[in-house]
Amino acid sequence: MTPLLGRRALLRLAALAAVAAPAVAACTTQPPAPPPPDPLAALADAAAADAATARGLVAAYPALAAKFQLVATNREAQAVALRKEIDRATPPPSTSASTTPSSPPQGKTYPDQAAAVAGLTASLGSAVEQATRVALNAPGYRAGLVGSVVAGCACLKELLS
Amino acid sequence: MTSPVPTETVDALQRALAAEHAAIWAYGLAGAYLPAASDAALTKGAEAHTVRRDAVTATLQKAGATPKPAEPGYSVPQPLTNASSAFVLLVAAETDVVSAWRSVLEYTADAGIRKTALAALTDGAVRAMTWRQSGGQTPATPPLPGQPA
Repeated sequence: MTPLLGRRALLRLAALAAVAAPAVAACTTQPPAPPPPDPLAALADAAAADAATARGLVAAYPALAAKFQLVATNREAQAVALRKEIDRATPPPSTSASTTPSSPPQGKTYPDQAAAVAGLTASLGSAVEQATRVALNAPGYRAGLVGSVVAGCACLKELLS
Repeated sequence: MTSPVPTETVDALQRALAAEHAAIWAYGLAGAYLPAASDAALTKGAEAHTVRRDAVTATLQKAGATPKPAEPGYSVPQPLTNASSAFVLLVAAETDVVSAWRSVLEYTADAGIRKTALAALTDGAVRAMTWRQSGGQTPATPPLPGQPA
C-alpha cells in the first residue's frame, strides 16, 4: 500500500509544484530583459556600411565607377531586405521607429584605388563569412534569405577581383 | 538507414537535381556557339554541375528516394543561334540552379545538406555573373541571387 500512496503523494506534489512555480516566479522576477539582438542586425549594418563606402568610391575612382556602383546598389538592397525580415520577426514598437539606424553609416575612405579595392574586397569577404555562419544555423526562410546574401557578396567580391 | 530525411527536403533535392540535369544539358548545347575564350569556363562549369548532380543523386539514394532522371531535352529561353543566345541560355541555367539550391537551404535543417546547398547556390551565382559579363548583360549580378521575384 505504501508505494501506491507514495506515488500519489508524489503526483500531488508535482501538481502543486507546477501550479506554484510560475506564481513564485511571477513574484520574484524582474521586468523581462530586452530581447537579444536579431542575428540579422549585424549583417544589415555591415551591408549598409559597405553601401556607404562604395557610394563614396564611385565619385573618387571613375575608372571603377560602374563596379563600385553595383556594390553600392546591391549592398543597399541587401540591407533593406534584411531589415524588412528583422522588422517582420520583431515588429518595431511604432511605425515611425524601425530598425533603420538613426544616423546613416559613414563610408570608409582609402588613399588610392588599389587600397579601395582591397579594403572593399576584404569587407565583402568578412560579410561572406559572417552571413555563412547565420545561413547554416537560421530557421528555414531566413536561411534562404541569408544564403542569397552570401551568394550576392561572393559575386561582388569576384566582380572586384 | 540513418535518420529519415523529411519529404520537403527530398522534394527540394529532387528540384535541385532536375536543375543540375538541365544545366549539364545547357552546357553541352551552348559550347557549339561560344568563342574559344569561353572554353575553360565552359569545361569548369560543366564539371562542377556533373559533380553536384552525382552528389545530390547519392544524397537522394541514401535518403531512400529514387533520383529523378534527366529529361531527353529542355526548352531554351530563346532560339540558340549565336554566342549571345548561348550566353543567355547559360545564365538561365545557372539562375535555375541557384533558385533550386536556395530552396534546398530553406527546406532542410541538416547541417551537411545546408553546407552543400549554400556552396552550390554561391558557385552558381558567381558562374551566372561571369556568363552575364561575357554576354554583355547588365547588371552583372542581382543583389540576392536565388531570391524569388
